[in-house]
Amino acid sequence: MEDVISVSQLRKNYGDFTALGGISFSVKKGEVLALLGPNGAGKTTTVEILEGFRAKSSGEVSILGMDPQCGGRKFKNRIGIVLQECSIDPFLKVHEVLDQRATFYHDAIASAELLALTGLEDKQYEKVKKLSGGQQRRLDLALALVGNPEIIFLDEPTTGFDPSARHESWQIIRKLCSQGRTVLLTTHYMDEAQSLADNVVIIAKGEIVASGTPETLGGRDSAATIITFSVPLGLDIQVAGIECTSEDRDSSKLVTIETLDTVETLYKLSSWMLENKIQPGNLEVSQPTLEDIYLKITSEDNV
Amino acid sequence: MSSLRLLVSQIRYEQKTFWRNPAAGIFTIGFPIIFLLIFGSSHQSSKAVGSTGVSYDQYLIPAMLAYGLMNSCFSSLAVSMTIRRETGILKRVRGTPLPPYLFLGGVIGNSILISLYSTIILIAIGILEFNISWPVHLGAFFVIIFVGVVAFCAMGLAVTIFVPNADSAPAMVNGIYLPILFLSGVFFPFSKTSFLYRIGNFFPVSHFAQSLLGAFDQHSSGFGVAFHQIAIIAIWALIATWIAVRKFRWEPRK
Repeated sequence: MEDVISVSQLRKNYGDFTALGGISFSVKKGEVLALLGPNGAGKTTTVEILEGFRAKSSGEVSILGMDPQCGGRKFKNRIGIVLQECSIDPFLKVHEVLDQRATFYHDAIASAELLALTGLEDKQYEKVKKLSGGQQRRLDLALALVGNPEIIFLDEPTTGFDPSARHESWQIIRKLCSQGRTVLLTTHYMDEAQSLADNVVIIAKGEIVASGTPETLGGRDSAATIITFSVPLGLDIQVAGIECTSEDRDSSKLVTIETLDTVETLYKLSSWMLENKIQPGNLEVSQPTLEDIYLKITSEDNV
Repeated sequence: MSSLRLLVSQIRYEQKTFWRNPAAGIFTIGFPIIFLLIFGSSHQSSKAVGSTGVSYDQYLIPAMLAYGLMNSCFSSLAVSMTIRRETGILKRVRGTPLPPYLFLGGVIGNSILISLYSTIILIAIGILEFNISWPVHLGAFFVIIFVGVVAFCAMGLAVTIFVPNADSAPAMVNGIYLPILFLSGVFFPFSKTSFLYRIGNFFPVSHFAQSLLGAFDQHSSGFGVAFHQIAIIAIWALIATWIAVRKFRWEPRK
């Protein structure tokens, strides 16, 4: 598959301040790339350069073979943008906003289709100001799709959503990718990146500090497995020679095992429990989550 | 869609937005009407104004037209564009293929339409209620209205550059245009020798009102107005356009 977004050695300076210190990444057609990073890391600066809102200081940016700065109308016709802040004319009705937007594009999607996709059919004759925050955000997404875009930029698309609204939005975004559209999104939610992204790039202080698939990022797949469970207080937990730490809680003892050899450790552990007739409480086997990895990578010591 | 059709479509949506915000409609079109009725009933209409031969009522109509046009072009554009900039609506427009000139064209076209409504209503009230005649020098009348609308719209767009945020927009815009209207003799006339009159003459509004008065005046000859006054308004239009084109901001200041 071809790269529809390619960024190489992208730099952005504001006076003496370096907002982006030469970052490079690429996105293939139909993929979702999630841009993660702490506030002020340079995510929005990156996205806004890619959208054509801001000029780069140096480096190369190619979106669908065009330079966003010089692409003009032709470029804007092929991308869709959801900005961080939701700002739609409050006095127009939902269908009017969509119809108006459709007049801007060569190849517009019918508003009925977009209303169905974003679940706003019932609201089409309401004024925008009457919509809830979540509905306005969905309308925002619908507006970004009017031009039948090949690339969609989503800057924190689900911030402030309740969990079910977020899952609905993810469904929509997955549907868009299955239609062959490419998505570049920024987010603060690790589960969002985990659930949607083919690739993740973590930016901190204007530099890429990690990149990869959500599953392998930061050596996540080869990191130690953590097994935790609780046993009654006072029980001796010399578990069949397995190294572990324990901590007394109110009514039980919490045991934590870190291991690289997950299967063998689990085998030994369960045999020991069977032999000694131990009923463990809250048994959990976990790999580090994307959030664990993210926090480790972006903690002050590492950046 | 062709550029012209896109422009018409933009003006239509701008009109929808304008009329659905009752506060904007009442303030922009209603206030000059209310002021005309109040001022018109509280003075002796036959009394001549200053050293001129025109009656107060005759003086009042062009003055209120100036007020109406400043409302529908200068202040409503300045306030609404600042609010749209600060809420991110302008930035969003920049992210679409709609060319900026067509967006601004829609906004200005909307202001022109509102000016037109305001002008027609005020003149109609003048004719029906205060026995004012239709402008005698029609050609001059349309030229002045046209130059005035262009100047006030350009000034409205230019002034947004100096308004820092949405909250201060109405206060700042009122703080700029109300004193100008006063100094321009829109609410009550000054003697031509007074200091305030000379300050007011620096701005285009007094020249606009005076030229319009000429267009209504049966006693003025030829084209009906002094060309240097139209020139002053046109110079303001050019300077404001130049500033707006160079410095107009589509995004809030960071």
